[in-house]
Amino acid sequence: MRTARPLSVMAVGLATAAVLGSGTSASAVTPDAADNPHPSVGHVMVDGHRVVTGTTIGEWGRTTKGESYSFTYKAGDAKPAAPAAPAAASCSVYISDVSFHGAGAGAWFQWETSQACSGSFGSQKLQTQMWRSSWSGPRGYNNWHGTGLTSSSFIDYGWSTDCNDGGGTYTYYPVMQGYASGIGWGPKTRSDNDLRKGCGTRSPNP
Amino acid sequence: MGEQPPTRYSPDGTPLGRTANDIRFTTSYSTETPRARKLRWLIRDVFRRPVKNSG
Repeated sequence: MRTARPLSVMAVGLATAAVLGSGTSASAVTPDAADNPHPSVGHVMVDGHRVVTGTTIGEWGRTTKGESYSFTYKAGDAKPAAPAAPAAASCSVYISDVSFHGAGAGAWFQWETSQACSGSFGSQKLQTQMWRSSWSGPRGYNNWHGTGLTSSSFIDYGWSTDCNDGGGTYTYYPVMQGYASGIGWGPKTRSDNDLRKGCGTRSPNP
Repeated sequence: MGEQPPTRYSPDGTPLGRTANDIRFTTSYSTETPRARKLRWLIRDVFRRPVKNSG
């Protein structure tokens, strides 16, 4: 169809101009013969270019926060707004010093963990585990234990694990890790202190 | 009179009922956390070296 040819050439030119001119976004126009049976009927200006009304225009790019986006619309229709930067969220964690209580078979480790989140964090939780030293690096002394997901902005829990008295001497410290659905997992954070005790390689109540 | 034994927390977690104002938070992470810091945490994770609470 000869009448469609000038439109194709124009579309390529517009796409190139839009890429150069938009900075963080790009636009492309694709002729849509089915939607525009009579392309010479009317024109509108898109990004400073004369475009046949009803032509499909695609735009893609990145927000100022680096998020990719894309959308399409018809020339002559209202152009959708590019997505705003994602809302910020932040969380802070706290883990106390580990303490040791009792004696012999009745001894145990104890510590506390907290997390506070603000902004659009979604829901949050935390997990914690006691670690012990080994020649190949730290290892878990018990299993990971965690809280349930909550939309509350603050979680605050105390934890304990038993000592396997007489099982061998190692260095012990607890670690914790916070999670928020709007951010993901935070870093593993350990207590300031650690304790050298003869509690073996594995907690009796992991 | 001997010293009172401390309240033992559950191995599965005991809610403590404090407020965020009672806590001195140290380590933070957020949607704005710089890529360099995230990379440092990732490398620590590989070597199983957690961030220390004071830093």
